[in-house]
Amino acid sequence: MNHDLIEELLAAQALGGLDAAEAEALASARAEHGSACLECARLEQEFAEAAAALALDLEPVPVREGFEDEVVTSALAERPAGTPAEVAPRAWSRPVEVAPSPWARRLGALAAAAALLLGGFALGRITLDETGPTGDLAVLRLQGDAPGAISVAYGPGGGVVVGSGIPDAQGNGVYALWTITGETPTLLGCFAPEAGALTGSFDGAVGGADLMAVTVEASPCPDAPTSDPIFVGEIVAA
Amino acid sequence: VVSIELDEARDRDLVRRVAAGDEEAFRGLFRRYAPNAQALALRIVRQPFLAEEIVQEAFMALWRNPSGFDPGRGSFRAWLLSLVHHRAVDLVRREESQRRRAEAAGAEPEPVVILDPADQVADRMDQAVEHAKVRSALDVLPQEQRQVIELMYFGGLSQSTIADRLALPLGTVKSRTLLGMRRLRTAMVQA
Repeated sequence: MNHDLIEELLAAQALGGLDAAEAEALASARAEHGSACLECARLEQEFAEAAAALALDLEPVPVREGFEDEVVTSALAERPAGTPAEVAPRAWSRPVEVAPSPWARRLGALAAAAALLLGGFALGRITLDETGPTGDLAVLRLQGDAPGAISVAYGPGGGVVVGSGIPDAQGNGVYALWTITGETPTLLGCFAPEAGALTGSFDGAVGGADLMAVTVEASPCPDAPTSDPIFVGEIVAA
Repeated sequence: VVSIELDEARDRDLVRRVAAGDEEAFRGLFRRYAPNAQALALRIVRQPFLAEEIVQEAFMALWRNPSGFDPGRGSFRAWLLSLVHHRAVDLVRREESQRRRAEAAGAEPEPVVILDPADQVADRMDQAVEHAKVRSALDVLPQEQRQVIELMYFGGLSQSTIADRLALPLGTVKSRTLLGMRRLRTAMVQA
């Protein structure tokens, strides 16, 4: 993969200038290039610092009197002083088989609705080929009625997820990514967005599953989904 | 440079204390960064009450999930300002979307939050070393690169929207963005 393309997309990402398709292209490029690329991580960090510097060039606006106390009061109402914060899960976990649940019906309905909405072809449909020695990289753009965009790039042994415009989950919630085989969900991992951006990687094969889905869950990450899916993508095996 | 590193070390320590539920540490970070955060939000949404709301949301996100800040991925300052930036841009884009829907329906367009994002970059410097670095970096940016960067960062516009608005090829917008950000990045790293 062309490293220049990744740099170009990272520069725009730092400024908030990527649309959904470009965010997907970045996810795909980074997955193909290698999600652990130190140079990419350095560029991402330096571009973020450069973008923040634009904000620092603005003349600071003094906060109104009483605003600090209002914010602190709101914070303490949620978590009193001296109470340690729960640590939100960051790393992706390995797949865990979980029992089916009635939410699968909702998942089917959402998938069908998305198919109608998108003319019957989208639903992030891709062709997966895992027969080669290294396997092909596939990119799945999930569809749903929630704000933001989520794409998953994956190969035979794992993948990466990238999202943009993703709001924080309510409370201390996290976004959970599942594969669905029949009506059986398998957890790929949980993650929390940062500044609307969602990035993470996971181990485990996706092939053989019918769908991918995202739900919003309370932290810590559950073994089985407890809410309806908000994003769905159909995996079509080659 | 040493003072900046000390500032960052202090920030990291304050975040650790916030994670333990230290109210004074939370107040310390608020006092240090809320004015910058409010300036950024105000520049983007142009309405003080909305800017205040965005700042509050960002600090609440810090209090709820201090581990969202990863010191290995950059400074606390950059992380917090990116939270603010994202929320502000998200709001602007929602407003823009509503305006388009209203126009499509033939209704009177609602007021748009986005105003001219290229009207100015801050004119004055304070004594902060960081500010001086930024100003010198911005000063050497060619006008066409600065325009694209400002439209994107302060206007909340995507590259394709900027291309449409400026009647430029998308590739030109992308290359100006990249070249401008490279200059800024280099200036920030080397200064």
